[in-house]
Amino acid sequence: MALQIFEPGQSSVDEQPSEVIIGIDLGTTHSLVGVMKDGTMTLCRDEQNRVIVPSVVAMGKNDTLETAVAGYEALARDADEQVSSVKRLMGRAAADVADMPFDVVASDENAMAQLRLAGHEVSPVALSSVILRVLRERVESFLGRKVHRAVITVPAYFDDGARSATRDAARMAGLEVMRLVNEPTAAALAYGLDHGSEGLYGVYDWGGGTFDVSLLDLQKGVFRVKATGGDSALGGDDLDIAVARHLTAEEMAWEDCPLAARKQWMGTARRMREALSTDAVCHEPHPFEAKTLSLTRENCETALLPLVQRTLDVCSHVLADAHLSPSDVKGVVLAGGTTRTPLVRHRVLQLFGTDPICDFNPDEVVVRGAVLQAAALSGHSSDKGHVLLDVAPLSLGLETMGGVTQKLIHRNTPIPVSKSQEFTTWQDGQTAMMMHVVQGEREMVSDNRSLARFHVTDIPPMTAGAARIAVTFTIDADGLLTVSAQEKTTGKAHHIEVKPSYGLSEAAMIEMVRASQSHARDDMTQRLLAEARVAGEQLLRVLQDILQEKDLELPKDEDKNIRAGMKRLAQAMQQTDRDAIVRATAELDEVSRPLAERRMSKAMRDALQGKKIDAVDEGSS
Amino acid sequence: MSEGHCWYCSHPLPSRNFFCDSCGVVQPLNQRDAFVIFSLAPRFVIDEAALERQYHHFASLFHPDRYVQQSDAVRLVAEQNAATVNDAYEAIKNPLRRAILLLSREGMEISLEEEQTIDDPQLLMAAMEDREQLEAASDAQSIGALHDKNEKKITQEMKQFSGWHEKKELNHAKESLLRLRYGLRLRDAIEEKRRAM
Repeated sequence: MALQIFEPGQSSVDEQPSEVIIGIDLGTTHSLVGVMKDGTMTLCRDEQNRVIVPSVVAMGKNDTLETAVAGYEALARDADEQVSSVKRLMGRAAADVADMPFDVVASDENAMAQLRLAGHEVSPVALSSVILRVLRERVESFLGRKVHRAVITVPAYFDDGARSATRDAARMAGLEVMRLVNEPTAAALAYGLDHGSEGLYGVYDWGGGTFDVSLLDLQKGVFRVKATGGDSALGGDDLDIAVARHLTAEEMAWEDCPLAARKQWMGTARRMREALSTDAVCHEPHPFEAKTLSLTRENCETALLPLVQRTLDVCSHVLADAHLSPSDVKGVVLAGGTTRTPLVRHRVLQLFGTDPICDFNPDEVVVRGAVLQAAALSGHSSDKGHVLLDVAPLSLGLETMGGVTQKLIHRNTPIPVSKSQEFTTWQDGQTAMMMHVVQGEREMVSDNRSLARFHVTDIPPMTAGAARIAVTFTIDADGLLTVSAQEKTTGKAHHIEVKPSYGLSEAAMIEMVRASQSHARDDMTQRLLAEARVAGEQLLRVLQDILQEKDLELPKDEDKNIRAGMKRLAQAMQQTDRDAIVRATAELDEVSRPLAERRMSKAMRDALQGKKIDAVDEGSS
Repeated sequence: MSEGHCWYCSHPLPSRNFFCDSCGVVQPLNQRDAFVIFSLAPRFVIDEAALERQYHHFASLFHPDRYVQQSDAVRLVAEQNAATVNDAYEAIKNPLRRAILLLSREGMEISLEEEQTIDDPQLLMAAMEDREQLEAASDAQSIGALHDKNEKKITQEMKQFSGWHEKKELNHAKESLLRLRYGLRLRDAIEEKRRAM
């Protein structure tokens, strides 16, 4: 028998025959695919030698979906027959995308938005899968063999719902996702491996529909994200809308513009905006009338500036999160087509004080990273095992009493990560408990994004506060969340996969992060008040229950003091003075302590007797 | 490293082995003590370069990317190890968690989350003063001054904690830790105010 030598983590067991893994950048406006073959990266092209597949899907003959090869120009002509920017709908509800030129089917609040396309209802997942299938077929014809596995890039700021939707779309297209890689991380990988860079780098990734910024520490093949931030509802599309608003301002309000006309105007705006990347002034035919529209770069930039400024604010916040200043950053890698805009480059230079790095075509840098990562996962890598250490973009937590968020995993925590927290019952004999999982930075649950609700049932009936329920959140390397709960005294496990509620837009998400910063103090005041009320309510409830018991035998003066204390606390809780509530609670707690102590020892005796009975039962069965 | 046998093939294993020498499968990292995981002396002043080196080493060793071709059970073990390593890193990197961990090793438990009650009258006075100043601060300069003052205090407090801990004066160390926790919370409040402007 031949001697076998094992590398750590490279065991011989369960190893499937090495299969090719492809790299995909599934973009808002266009998508790319590539593969490593014989140590060389190839980005796959079509017959016309184009590397880009427009992320535009049309309803073709026989009512089958296909990608629209002609792309945007065709889109402008047959607006009703095709749909673009589907990525912006992944994991979003209808209300989240009201501003966008989508023909969305009205649906209930918590369902992913469905689109109307040539008389059919289709889901964003199905539409994305059409694009993914075309990409897969492109690689297959290049390699001359079937492929089943892919690394797909997603915006770093994509939440759990959007990530799951992307994975589902791949599955529909016959692709197993081996890893979801964050787009800025992929760009850093492509740049860093190529240049052998070391030190702290920023990636400013602004695509058609999303903006991300990440700060990474590059060291000897370790690509470590220090902090990330973004806006998953801010892209080139929004720049087009801003320019289109400017162009139509004299004729009508953008909101009054019909859907089909909006798409036409956005096409015009896009062409003008792109032309102004190189020219000082640009002329385009009016989309509906026989006249010419003119726009100077200066006017265009005035329209764009507020949006560009939003991205710079995000950059500043991410720097603060990482406790860094702009001068600590060695270089900023640009990715995404929107970074071609001269205003963007200029402002990034101003903020970081260094010329942005644009060695790679900004459309290709992300897919290059995806291909490098795919090669590494399939063991076909030419580099000596780089490692990507990424972080969770948003804080995760649970709703606790009073609608307060209890954060379990803070944003920018390295992933994979697992965190547990114990909770208890607050009523005697309580046998079930509902858990509400939320994502966001705010103190109050109602201001964060609801991810899922689940029930823990069959908790053994015990005195309030005796049951111990451990809830564990796990975020895996794909940024996907699972939650499990276990009652510790009985060991009963309760497992769920988080089903996203799709109820809130990325815009709402960035708004939440922003608001959490400006309303921090309001939040704290509200939170303290809510906590005080909860503590008061809990005490009142317990005492009310006890006072109703028949065989209580409570001394008269104790009874009088407790009832007076309860009345005072109930009155204080009607008001918003937190200190008064805390004081009244403490006083009531004091006068009821002898009662509570007597009762606790009785509960202990009962519990012990109950245990004996169980033990007898077990022994006899 | 469950009972000295590989969980996968039951081959006997020494307890510090991360991989089975018979089947090569990754072993669950049962060690939870962050200082032990990274082979660091349990002191408040840490060798940051050594921590980074060790973290990179372990994060690479158990990184889920290295296990994608393996079975679900093996992948789960690696993922849990990676999560343990990530948490251990945060526990040492974060000065407050590090201080709490050091006291916990001495048998003194302090919760990271619990509602803070300030018993120290001096700290209480200082806290009220800071709060007033932060509320009154209306420009970047005055916030910057508050920030600098607080950072100086944080640095001082870390030195104090370290000193008390080294001398095993645990009650003094605990008081220092509570002051440090206050300083770090004030740091967050200052940062929030800065962002809101």
